[in-house]
Amino acid sequence: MDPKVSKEKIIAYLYGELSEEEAGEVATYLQNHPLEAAEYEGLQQLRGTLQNIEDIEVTQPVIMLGNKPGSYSFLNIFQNRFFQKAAAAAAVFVIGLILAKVTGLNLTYSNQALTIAFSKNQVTPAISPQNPGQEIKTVSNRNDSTQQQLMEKVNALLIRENRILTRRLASLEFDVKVLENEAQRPAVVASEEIPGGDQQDMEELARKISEQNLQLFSEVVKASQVQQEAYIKSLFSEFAIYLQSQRVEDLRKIEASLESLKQDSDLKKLETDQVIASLIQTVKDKNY
Amino acid sequence: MVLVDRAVQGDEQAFTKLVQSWYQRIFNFNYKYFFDYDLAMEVTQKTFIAAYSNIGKLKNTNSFSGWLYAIAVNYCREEDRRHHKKWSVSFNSLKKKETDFEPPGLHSHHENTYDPEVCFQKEELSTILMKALAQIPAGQKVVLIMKEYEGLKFREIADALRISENTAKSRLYYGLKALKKILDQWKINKEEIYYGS
Repeated sequence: MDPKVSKEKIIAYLYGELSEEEAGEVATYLQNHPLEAAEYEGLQQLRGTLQNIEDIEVTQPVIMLGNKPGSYSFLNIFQNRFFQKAAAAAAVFVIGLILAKVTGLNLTYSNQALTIAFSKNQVTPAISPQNPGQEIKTVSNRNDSTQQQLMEKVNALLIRENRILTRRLASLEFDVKVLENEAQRPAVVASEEIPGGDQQDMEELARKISEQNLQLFSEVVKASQVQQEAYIKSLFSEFAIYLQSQRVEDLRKIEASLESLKQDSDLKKLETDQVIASLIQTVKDKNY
Repeated sequence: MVLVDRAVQGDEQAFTKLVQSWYQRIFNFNYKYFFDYDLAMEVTQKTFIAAYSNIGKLKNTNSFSGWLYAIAVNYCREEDRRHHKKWSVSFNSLKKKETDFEPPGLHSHHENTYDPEVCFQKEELSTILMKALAQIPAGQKVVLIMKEYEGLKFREIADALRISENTAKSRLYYGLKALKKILDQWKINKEEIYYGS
C-alpha cells in the first residue's frame, strides 16, 4: 500500500518543483488514488483558468534621483493622491478667482458687516481722516442720486399702474352702459302695454292675463280632447276594418271548406249510386 | 545581478534600470492584490521609494527579487489594514457586488484572429478571476500571486514572506482550493472558459 502523499508534495508536483524520484512517487500515488487524482486534475485546470488574468500595461514614470537616499521621487507626481487633491483645491481656487473677476465680485467687511456685491462699481473708498468732509459729501451726493433714481423708478411704476387702471375703468364704464341700455329696453315695452301704470291697472291686467291664460288652457284641453276623440275614432274604424277583413277571410275559408265537403259528398253519392245500380243489375241478371 | 550590486553600491543609474525592469512586474503584483489601479500605482511607487532608501542594506544581492516583493507585500498589508480601518470600499468593488454576480455566457472562439467579442469576454473573465482572487485570505493570495504570476520558487516566496517552504506550499494549496470553490460556486469551469486555444 502506498504511503500518504502530503498536500505540500502534491503542490510542489503541480508546479514541477520535485525531484524526478519524488515526482515519480507522486505520479504513482495519483494513479492508485482516483479521488486525489481528480482533485489534482481540478487544480491543474484551475491553473489553466488563472492564466486568463491579463496584466495591465502601465506607463513607467520618469525617475529623478536625489543625492541622498530618501530623496528618490517620481516626476509623475500627478498620480499621487495628495498632489491630486492639492491640485484640485488650487484649480477650484483659481476658478473662483476668475469667476470673481468676471462677475465683479466685491467683498467688503466694515463695521462688523460683510458685504458681498456683484458689480463692477468701484469699492466705496474708506473715509480718510485727513479730509472727512469731502468723503461724507461724496457719500451724501451718491445717496441723493440713488434716492432720485429710486423716485424716478417709483414714479414710472405708478404712471404705468395708473394707465392700466384707467383702461380698466373705461372698460368697466362701457360695460355698465351696455347693461343699462339692456335694462331700459323691457321697461319701455312694459310702459307701452300698461296705460296707467298704477296698482289697480296692474291688477286688472293680471286678471285679464290670467283669464286669457285660462281660456287658452281650456281651448288647448278641448283641442286636445277633439284630437284624442278623432284619434280613437280612427283607431276604432281601422280596427273595425281589420275585423271585417278578417271575417271575410274566415267566411271565404269556411265557404271553401263547405264546397270541398259538398264535392266529396256528391262524389260519395255518385259512387253509392253506381254501387246500387251495379247491385241491381247483378240481381236482375241472377233472376234471368 | 550586476545591476543589483551596482545599485547596492549607490549607482543611481543602475537603480534606475532596476526600476525600469521591475516596475511593471511589481505594479501587476500589486494590482492583482488590490484589484485597484490607483492603489496599485501608489503602492508600487512606495515600494520603489523604500527600495531606493534601503538598497544599501541589502546583503544578499541574489535575493533582490524576494526582497523587493517583501517590500511590496509589506506595503500591501499596510494598505490592507488602512483600508479595513477606514471601512472604505474601492471603486472597482462598487462597480458590481458579489451578490450581483452573473457568470458570463462564454462560448467557443478561435483566438487566432482579432475578435472584439473574444477580447471583451477575456477582459470579463480576467475581472471575474480578479474578483475571485480578492475573496481568498491575504496570506494565501500573496503566495498564489507570487507563484502563479511572478513565477517565484517556493524557496524565494518563503524567504520574502519569512515563512517556511512547507507553509508557503500549504498556503498555496488552500488558496487554490478556496479559489476553486469560489469559481465552482460562480459556475466558472473549463467548459465555460474555452477559447479554442
